[in-house]
Amino acid sequence: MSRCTLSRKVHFSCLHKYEVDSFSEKENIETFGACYTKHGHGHSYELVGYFSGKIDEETGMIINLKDVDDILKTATSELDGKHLNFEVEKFKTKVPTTENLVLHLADHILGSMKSFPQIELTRLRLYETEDLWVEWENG
Amino acid sequence: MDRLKLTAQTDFCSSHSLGAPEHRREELGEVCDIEHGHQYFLRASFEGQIDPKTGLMISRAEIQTLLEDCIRLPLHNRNLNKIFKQTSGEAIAKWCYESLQSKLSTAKLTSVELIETKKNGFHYPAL
Repeated sequence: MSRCTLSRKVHFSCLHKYEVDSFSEKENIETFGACYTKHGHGHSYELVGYFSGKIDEETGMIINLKDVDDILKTATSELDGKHLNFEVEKFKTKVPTTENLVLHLADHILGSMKSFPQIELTRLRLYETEDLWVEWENG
Repeated sequence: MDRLKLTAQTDFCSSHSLGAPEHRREELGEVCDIEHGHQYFLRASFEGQIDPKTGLMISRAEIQTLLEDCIRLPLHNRNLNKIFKQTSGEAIAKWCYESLQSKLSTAKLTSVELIETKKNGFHYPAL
């Protein structure tokens, strides 16, 4: 039976603030550079999910694309339109960097994948901008 | 164990001309030996541990400085033939990797990808 990997992209927008409370302003600037801003700033994020599985002989698919959209949108809807530092519980105590954000999304999506045992989430790529992205691999 | 890779991209515009060495002209023919330019994109990929305090694998200030000092400042708006003996995508990708590697302090640089045109790019080290 042939296996295949399907990728699907979703967009969401949110605000975040890069700052460690216990750091001085100088330390925050040294650590976060231009990303350190007094009130935070926003991004239009792009999340690409990669799903692998066997091609179903009858449907020719590994999973219904609608299910993939539901999985990805359920994970991102919690973040969409929010100021992450103030409105998302986990990021009240953790800096919402792209690294932490992709780990958070991976946890969420892996949870949803339990309903689809025939499919494996193999990779997530989260674009903060077109010039910076973080890739998570299921290892 | 989660594996994370962070990639940051910068660009630079440079001119160059290639050309086969005299003794291999017959074998290689014309190799873009008219002077021309590209808007190159350089993607640098890093791996490392996330600092639990800052949530960063590599400081954003360090990335910004690295890409500016190691890539854009030496290469942007330059004629590459005046800087390098070889100006092929392969040679420039290798140079970019080594230039970044020499200045990196926290995370590990795993690879670079140099996009020369929409149709071709160069990974160093090889995939």
